[in-house]
Amino acid sequence: MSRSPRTRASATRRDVLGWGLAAGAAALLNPRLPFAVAKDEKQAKPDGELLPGKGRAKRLVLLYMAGGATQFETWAPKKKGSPNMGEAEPINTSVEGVEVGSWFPNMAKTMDDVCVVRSVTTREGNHDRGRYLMHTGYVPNPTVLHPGVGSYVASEIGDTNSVLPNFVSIGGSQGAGFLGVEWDPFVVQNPAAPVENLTSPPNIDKRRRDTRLSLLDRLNREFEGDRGDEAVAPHRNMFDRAKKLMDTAKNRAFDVTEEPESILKLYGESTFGKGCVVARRLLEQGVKVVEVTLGGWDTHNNEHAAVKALAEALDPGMSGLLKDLRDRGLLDETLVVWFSEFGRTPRVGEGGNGPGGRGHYPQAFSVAMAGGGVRGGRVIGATDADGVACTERPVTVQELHASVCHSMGIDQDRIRFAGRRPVRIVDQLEGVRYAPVREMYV
Amino acid sequence: MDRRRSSKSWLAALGLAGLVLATGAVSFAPPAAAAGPKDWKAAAAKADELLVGRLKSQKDLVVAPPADDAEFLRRVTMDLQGTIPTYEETVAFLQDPSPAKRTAVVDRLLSSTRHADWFAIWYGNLLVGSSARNRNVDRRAFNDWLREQFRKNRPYDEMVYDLVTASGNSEQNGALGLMTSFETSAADAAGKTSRYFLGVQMQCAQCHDHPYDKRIKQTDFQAYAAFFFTTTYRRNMSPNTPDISFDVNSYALEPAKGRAGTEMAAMPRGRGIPLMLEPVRRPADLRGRAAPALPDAKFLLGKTVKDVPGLDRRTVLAKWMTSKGNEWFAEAFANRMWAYFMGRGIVHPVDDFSTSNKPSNPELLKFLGDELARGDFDVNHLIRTIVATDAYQRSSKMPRGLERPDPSLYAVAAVKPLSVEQSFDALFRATGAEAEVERRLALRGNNMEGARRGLVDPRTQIYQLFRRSFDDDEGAEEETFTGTIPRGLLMMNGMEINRIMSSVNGDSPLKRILAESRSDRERVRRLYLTVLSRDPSAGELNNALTHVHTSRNEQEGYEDLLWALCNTTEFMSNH
Repeated sequence: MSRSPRTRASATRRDVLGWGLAAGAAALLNPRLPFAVAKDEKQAKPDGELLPGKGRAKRLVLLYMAGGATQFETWAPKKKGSPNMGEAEPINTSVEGVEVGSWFPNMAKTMDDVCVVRSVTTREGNHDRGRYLMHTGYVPNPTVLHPGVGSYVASEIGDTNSVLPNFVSIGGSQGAGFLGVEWDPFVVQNPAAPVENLTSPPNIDKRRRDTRLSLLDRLNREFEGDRGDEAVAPHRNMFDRAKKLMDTAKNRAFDVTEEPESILKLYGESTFGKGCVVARRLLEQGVKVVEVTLGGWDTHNNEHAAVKALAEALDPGMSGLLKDLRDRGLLDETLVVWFSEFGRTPRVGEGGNGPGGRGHYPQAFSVAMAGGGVRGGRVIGATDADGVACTERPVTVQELHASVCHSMGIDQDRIRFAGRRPVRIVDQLEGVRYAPVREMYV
Repeated sequence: MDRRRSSKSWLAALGLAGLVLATGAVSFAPPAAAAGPKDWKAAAAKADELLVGRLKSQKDLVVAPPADDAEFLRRVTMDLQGTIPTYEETVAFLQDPSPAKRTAVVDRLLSSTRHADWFAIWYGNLLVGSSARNRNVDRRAFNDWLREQFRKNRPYDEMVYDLVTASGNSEQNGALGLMTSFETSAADAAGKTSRYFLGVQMQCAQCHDHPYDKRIKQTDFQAYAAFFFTTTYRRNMSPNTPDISFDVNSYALEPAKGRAGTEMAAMPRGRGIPLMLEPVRRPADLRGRAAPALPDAKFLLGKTVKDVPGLDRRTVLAKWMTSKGNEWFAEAFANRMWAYFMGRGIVHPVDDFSTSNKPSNPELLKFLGDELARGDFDVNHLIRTIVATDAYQRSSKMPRGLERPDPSLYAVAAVKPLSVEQSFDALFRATGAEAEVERRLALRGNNMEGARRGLVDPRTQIYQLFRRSFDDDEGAEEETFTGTIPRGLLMMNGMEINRIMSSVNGDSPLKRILAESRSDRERVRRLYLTVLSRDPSAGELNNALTHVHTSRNEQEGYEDLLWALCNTTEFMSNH
């Protein structure tokens, strides 16, 4: 297909060449370096540094908190009694000196796997623009529709012959933009229900379905002869892939009911929890990227009640996923990213928000990462006592995307074309190349 | 009298036109000589002549023969109404012995309600995207307005003038749809208006000088965006207003008190937020800030415009943009329409006019642009011209074994993918479900009038039911069909799809065909005419008969044939 990016095969060849050279040189310079040293480091970029963890992740889970998730009640609590905390409190975690909000007791026990960035800062305080920026790493721009992180990662590491989609979104996500629909997420709205249209209606048995498809193939023949294969091939491909997905036993990965009770309990009863279970099942069957969305974070009113309810879904869902991945030995090769479009305002009930509500706040908020070569039990960056401004190590969206690329072994500087326009995977704003967040890996 | 022409004369009356003309790059061409009915036949012949010039320069080039009547009818109906012809229309057209029937059908289609409906959706999607729940546009009011423009065949320059200068409340003025879609971003307004109406990707210069057009600097983009700095935007969120309601206004500039010369005060009045390069979302965010400096506005590759007391900057921009002297305006639209009908722009991609992206046939582009401007931007004249060309009326078939020639030669008609709307309107018509859709639309329309309105256009909402499963990059110009797995699953297994394919369904053409036809031959033939708008070939007829005769039962056999016909590439494309 004309718009798909380079094929996996060519990527592999190039990477292997690059790695051979780089690994050799790196071994001479520093014997402690891990094997996976990537080609962009070898080219001695201005910020070039041999970071560990490169390419450690083979798959990616995105936990997207739609609406703008609070940083205060989650991973960046302020002191008890602080006016900005309201009735929420910090609690200790399995990592000494790292506190999280008291409504996340299970996450508190899992913090040795988690790296929290408490100083993410952007300028997009509008839902659509913030969602676009955080997912794509680019400021919205009417000329170019950039791919979301799920799509660009899938396009770099995915397998075009895979029976299952390379990128599954549970609850909706950012699309593939100029990479083309081939890399759009396969969207599942409800992880607790069967996948939409995956099974035939009662009056169409398998024999009848195959009769229809072979009839269709015959009917297409004259048109194909007159107008060429390139017109017909994409249609044929679409039905082939749909049929394969129907017929493969691997599609049982979408069926959460196959899981034992103990696992379902671990992840919690919520739809989000079930989404996380399905995510793990899909990863085990070879899906490269799964995004699970938890909505409801736009807490302009009565925030505490809303966040408490969200925590009942998020706390067991996310901690269950991390623990389950760890127990199965998958966490090290799986990068998990928790993020939202922006954070919430430090003060409660101010600035046009209802009683007990918080507004949109992109200036200083949190993102959490785990697995995939990222060192757990860490906190990066800090905000002042009120949480108004970043006081330490402000982190940009570009650095976060560079980190995802680093973990996934993707060349963040690779250029794809949106029409005639060259677009790097990670934006270089005003010519600045943003490096992965070093503190995550060393 | 329309607003544009009247404001022109208003300007002249006040003696202000001279001011604008003296300072800006505006130059109004003299009014076109009053001509009789515009001669689209001559224009089409000229366009073909310019195309043949390029064809002749190619060696061993195969040019496709003319499309037969069925191919032409289906293509032109799909292009002008966004759906397939009905069975009755097809049969009547194929039987009509009149040599002028192709012209007659174009007239019939252009004057149909369906044409205005479809063009409103097509053009609306282009301007503000296809999302049914665009939170920034009263899509219903916008669609109503667009529909009215195409119904009246409103001159294109007037239409764009209204879109760019629209003010007031979004419910009262449907033309506001484009302006409200920008919210408070002047960069969006500048980037999109220059792209849609001038064909120039000026947005490329938002962050740096234009990479492909060295003439356009970053400062040019900023100065162009300054045309929108005197516009204010406000989202109404009171319980008394519709769900989606906006006010967009302009504050006319006044001489600053106590200052010398013509320096203008730039203080917005009212509760709206001015459009800026760095958007602000809420009035509260402006509190405590100094009034933003108001930089001069500058036309694209033109001169700086001095503000005129009482005159809004958007008006000045719209006048320059839509004037006959504008080097891009007419060509950009001629190119867009040419690309729409022919499957490829003379400048390709359509809205990327730049020094490094030359037109494949500059003479043709210039001719079409001139023809459009000469005809006072008569949209239907341009359409008639294009669809009357030999190039448009060529077959999309190529002799087997030959490679399809360079699409910019237009030697063979293009195979164009259908939009989501076209796909479903065609499917609804082929399966008879159209009747049910119309019933539902009528019901919903009536209900919505009484309720709070402004949510979505009901027709757009119907498409939205399917859009999720279909490939659709909003705002993207699809060149190739790339079907998604959900689309395949929907077509194979969707309950609704299978329901409308069923011969038991009361609206289904199968029901009538099975009851009325005397032979299987006739049944197959009628089904082909209903779905593919043509007769089957001998081979296809035999193939279909074999299928029907080997089916478990007749009803199932025909249902499967209907399903398969509706999923052919032929059905799912315009060719």
